[in-house]
Amino acid sequence: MAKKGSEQQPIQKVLIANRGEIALRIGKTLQAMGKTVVALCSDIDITAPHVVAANEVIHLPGNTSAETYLQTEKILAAAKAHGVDAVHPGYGFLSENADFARACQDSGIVFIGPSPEAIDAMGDKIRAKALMQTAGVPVVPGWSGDSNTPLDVLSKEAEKIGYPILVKAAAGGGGKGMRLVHQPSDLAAALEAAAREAQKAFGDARVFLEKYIVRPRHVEFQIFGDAQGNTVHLFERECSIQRRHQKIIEESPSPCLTPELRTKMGDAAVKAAKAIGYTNAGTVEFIVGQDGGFYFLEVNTRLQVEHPVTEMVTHMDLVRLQMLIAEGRSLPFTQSDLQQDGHAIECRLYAEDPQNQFLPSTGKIVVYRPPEGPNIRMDSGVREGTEVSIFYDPMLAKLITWGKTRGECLSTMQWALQNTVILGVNHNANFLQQILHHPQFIIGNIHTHFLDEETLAPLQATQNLEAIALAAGIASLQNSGSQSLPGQSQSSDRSKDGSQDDHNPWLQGGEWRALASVPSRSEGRPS
Amino acid sequence: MSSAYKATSQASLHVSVNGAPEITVKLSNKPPFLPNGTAHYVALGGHEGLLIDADGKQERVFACLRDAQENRWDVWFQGATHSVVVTDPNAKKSKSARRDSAAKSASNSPDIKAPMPGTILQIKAAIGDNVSAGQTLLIMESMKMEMTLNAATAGVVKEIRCQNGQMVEMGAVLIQIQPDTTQPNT
Repeated sequence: MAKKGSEQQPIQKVLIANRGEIALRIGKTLQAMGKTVVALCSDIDITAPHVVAANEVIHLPGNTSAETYLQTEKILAAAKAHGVDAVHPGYGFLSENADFARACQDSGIVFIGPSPEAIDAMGDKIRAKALMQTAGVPVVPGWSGDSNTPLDVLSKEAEKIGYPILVKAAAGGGGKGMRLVHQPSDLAAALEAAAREAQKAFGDARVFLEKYIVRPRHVEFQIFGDAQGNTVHLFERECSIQRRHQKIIEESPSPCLTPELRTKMGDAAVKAAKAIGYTNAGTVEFIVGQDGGFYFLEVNTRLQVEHPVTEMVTHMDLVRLQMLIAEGRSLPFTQSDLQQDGHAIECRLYAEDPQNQFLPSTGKIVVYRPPEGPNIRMDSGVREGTEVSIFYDPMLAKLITWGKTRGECLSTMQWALQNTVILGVNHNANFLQQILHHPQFIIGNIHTHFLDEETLAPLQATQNLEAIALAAGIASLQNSGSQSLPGQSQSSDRSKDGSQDDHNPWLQGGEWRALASVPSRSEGRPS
Repeated sequence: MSSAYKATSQASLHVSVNGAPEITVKLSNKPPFLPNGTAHYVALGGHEGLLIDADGKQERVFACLRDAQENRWDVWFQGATHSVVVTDPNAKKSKSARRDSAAKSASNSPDIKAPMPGTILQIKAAIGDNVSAGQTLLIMESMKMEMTLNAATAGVVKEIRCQNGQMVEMGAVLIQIQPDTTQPNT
């Protein structure tokens, strides 16, 4: 936070208070800068990539987030015991917990992020909006007030704003505690559900109402402020492709911004940041109407999931910038030094089943082959053998591609997704491909309701079912030979296969032939 | 050792790809090709292989067992994952027996089961309650997502086998429903 004037404070050892892909990604920059990385580790994460990659590990007993990665006191005590100079919170978990940031500060540990005051000011969405309104940043019409406001008053306020409206958690983020209400009769249930979810997710049940902009775009600006009072933006990220208010595809530049609108919104983002004396990395989120009107949504006081698209088009390492600022140094550039180069897209790969209501999918990742090639970046939190559990976010990895133009970037992304092999859990790669191939997505005509309103066409499927059948047949024969009891196979422990079990001829050679494939008796035969 | 075949083996398997009608695949672990032999496969170890067709065109392929009971495999081929069920008509347990046991376990039971592992958030029914089809009986959470579980059919709540805050496994019966037989059941 480098709050105390501009004194410089070298940081040598950093605790990353997070897990998964973001912990790994932050650690890479820190280690490249010569810092020592301390990782947190729950019981089941004992062999997780972020733990293996660290220089020191703090074990937190238990598995739920509440028992482990949210244990502020334990984490702080361990940080002190390990003699860390700073804590990087990543995103989620403690990243927007002002009390934690304050506790770090009080312990003489640098919190790599904004000041606790800025987190507080922006964490309360109601206060944030009022503050921005005062600062002259455009906001969406809405209502907020006492949490004990009776339903009939809320109903009247909702009518005044005009349906459809959004019920949102005051302490919210990430789509949690948010409900869309189309008609007055649904308001009561939505208020109850949003409050319950908000209480659970944030420990704060307060909600507020907001006008729902029809077919809006979600465009956010990356901001950076240093302790010397310099504030810049690193341009926008278009995050309109969302499912249940959760972003799944992001890109930069936004296909919908004109240079004039970009300048206007960038200026507003910087104005918003300055209004709260913002330091370190943050994101000012706007929604943009079809008419080009834009409204302040919220400020995320952390490094965002989708920060890599900004890194790809600005050729900057945002974690490195965060470190410079945390050490009390000033930003090494001004706004006029910055420009966007080319285009970047990010796709989020989730362990979920698009065929079955997107239910999260758990299990062991048996095969994991990320795509590789020029202009392709995969930020993964998993590897082959990782057990995807119910305890944490189901995001497996982020796939990011870059191109000179949006078209080039998009075709690289399509190729990269097609060459991503993840087996063992269900995931959304095919679903992402369907979006990337949608004609409206291709021309950049996207909005946050895209997935609700558009029909995704199945991708052209292979006609070569025999090839697939053959591969599965051989795998099955190999597997049935490698086990003693039928039906008790352990597909995931086959590394020793081939070296033993002389009785299974399918395991001996390296080659198999398909003699023929014909429809089974039961089907497909002319009667 | 890769080319030292000790014995010739042949197998004939029934395979259904992505729910399509079964095809029979005949396999041999030894040359020669049949004149119309479609493909040959080179195992690359682990779960990876190469499929080479009669013209010499090759494709990478990955396979991973997803359900041992059903012998259901996920096969990655040409950029997509395919769900494949393999049955060996000569295996001891006959296909019809397997089908029967599968049918038994996945019966049209009106009981509320956990669609995935997770935590029970709220139970919205009590023993003895009359419930209607579609009525929300339970809210659970998994990986930070809430989901509601609804009655599939009208009936009476016979037993509640979970409590608030409890962690449950996938497929666990959470609420037992005695179906209402006076209403037409679909």
